[in-house]
Amino acid sequence: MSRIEVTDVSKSFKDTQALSHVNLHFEENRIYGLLGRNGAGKSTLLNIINNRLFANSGMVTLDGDSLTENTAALSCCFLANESNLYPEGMKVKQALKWSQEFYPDFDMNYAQELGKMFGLPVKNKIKDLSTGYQTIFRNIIALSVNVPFVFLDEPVLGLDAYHRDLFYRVLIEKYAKHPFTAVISTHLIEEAANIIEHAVVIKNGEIIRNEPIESLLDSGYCISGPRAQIDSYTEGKEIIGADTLGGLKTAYVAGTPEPKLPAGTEISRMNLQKLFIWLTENP
Amino acid sequence: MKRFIKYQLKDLLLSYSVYGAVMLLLLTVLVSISGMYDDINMSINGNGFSSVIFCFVAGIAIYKEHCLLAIQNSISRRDFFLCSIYSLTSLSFLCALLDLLLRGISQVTASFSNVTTNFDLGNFILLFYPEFLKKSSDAAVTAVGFILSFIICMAFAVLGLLIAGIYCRIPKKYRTLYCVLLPVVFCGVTPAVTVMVGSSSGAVSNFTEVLLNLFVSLDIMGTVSGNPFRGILAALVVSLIMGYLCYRILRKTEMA
Repeated sequence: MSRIEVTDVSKSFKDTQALSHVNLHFEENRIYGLLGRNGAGKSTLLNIINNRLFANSGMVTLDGDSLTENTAALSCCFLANESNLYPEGMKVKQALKWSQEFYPDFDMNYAQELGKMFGLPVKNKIKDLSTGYQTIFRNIIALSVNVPFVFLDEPVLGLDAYHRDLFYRVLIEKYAKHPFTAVISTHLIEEAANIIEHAVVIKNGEIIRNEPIESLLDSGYCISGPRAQIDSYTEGKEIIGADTLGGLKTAYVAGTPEPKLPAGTEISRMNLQKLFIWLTENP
Repeated sequence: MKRFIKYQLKDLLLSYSVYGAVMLLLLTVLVSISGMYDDINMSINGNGFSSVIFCFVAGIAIYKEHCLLAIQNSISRRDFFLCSIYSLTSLSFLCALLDLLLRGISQVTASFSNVTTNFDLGNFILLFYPEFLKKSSDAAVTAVGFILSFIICMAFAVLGLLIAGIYCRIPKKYRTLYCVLLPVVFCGVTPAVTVMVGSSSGAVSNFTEVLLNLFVSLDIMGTVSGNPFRGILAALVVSLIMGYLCYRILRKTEMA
């Protein structure tokens, strides 16, 4: 089993500490969610793993081999992020053709099929594509390269609801047919929550949670019912958040539910977005 | 690496074929006009120098664009650099070949046209190594001229890489200043200082004389001894030093 290991990685930009002693690993054939607020260090981490930025200290390895300046190890990874690193004058179809050259397992037929599904104008220059289509173009390449580790930094940036839904469906189908490791960094947690298997929560350059999504969601629960009942039940408990609709209330509570619940109330699973906001709300 | 070299060569050869076609067309047009009208004397000046500029610009142009594409496609900076050196060396070779071809065409057509290519890099031999020209066969002079032309083109291509490398490495806020200062220093300040120092007297003049004498005694370019191989070696060493500096800069450059 291949494994990317991030060991004690720190990175600073002038006075800003972007990452501080980050330790984590990515295993093969899993979908990871890299979650964090703006400026938390998600993109910096992905850029360091993919040899675009250099860490001030620490190292990143793939099965023990450094990923820094190592083409052989790097060829197992692909990062799709918002930076357009393709030449100004390059057309989409040329980029697909050259991706096929650079990645021996690149599936051109699949890429073309995805292009049709998303309505990607392949004859256009990459720089002339709209923000949404630039994202689609990078996602299509990321899904077609067939490397063990694919990093998707904001893969739904600028996509409309239809394309976002289509992307998640395509990702799941691809993952089901040919499993690979996808590390998804996104702000739209609610949408990605259904596909993420393992969550890495990053706050101010530090990993604050790194566990399977099941375990993370088990750190709290939702309780719904009449407002008065809920208020009395949640008294003295750590409230993550609450939604009120008329006389009904849903409270998101940290910890595990009490064995005896007030009448008329029901327990459901914790909401990932609420939990994320709670985990990352304090500066 | 092979695949990236293929990409680079394809990109560079496209530009080279346009450049080569323009140069050949220019020579053909001039030879044709000259052949039609006996009383016209025409010459192409500096076609060898245009190859140097072409290689220099190619070095600048491929650095950032190709490096970003390499990084996007999980190719390390080191491998990108090796690929670039290989591609630019091939391009320099082709440019030297083009010089040779243009020179050959102008010599062949000399019987019926008055067009002269009175300066190309091969003619460096004529300008700086006249003794070598006297004592060597035509084939040897052509061969050495070709090698000299190739090495100079390569040196300028690597210089282009180095200039672009420094540009990408320095903070964004200094890039405009760098772009303005570089041509001003090389094309304005340096010649002005040279003239001022040359026409000065006293300590500055004496120091300059000592410095010039030192360079003459070292005979780095081989112009004193009439040995073009010294010049070739010097250009090669300069290329290697610039290449090394470029690599040192590149390996620390962040691309995100």
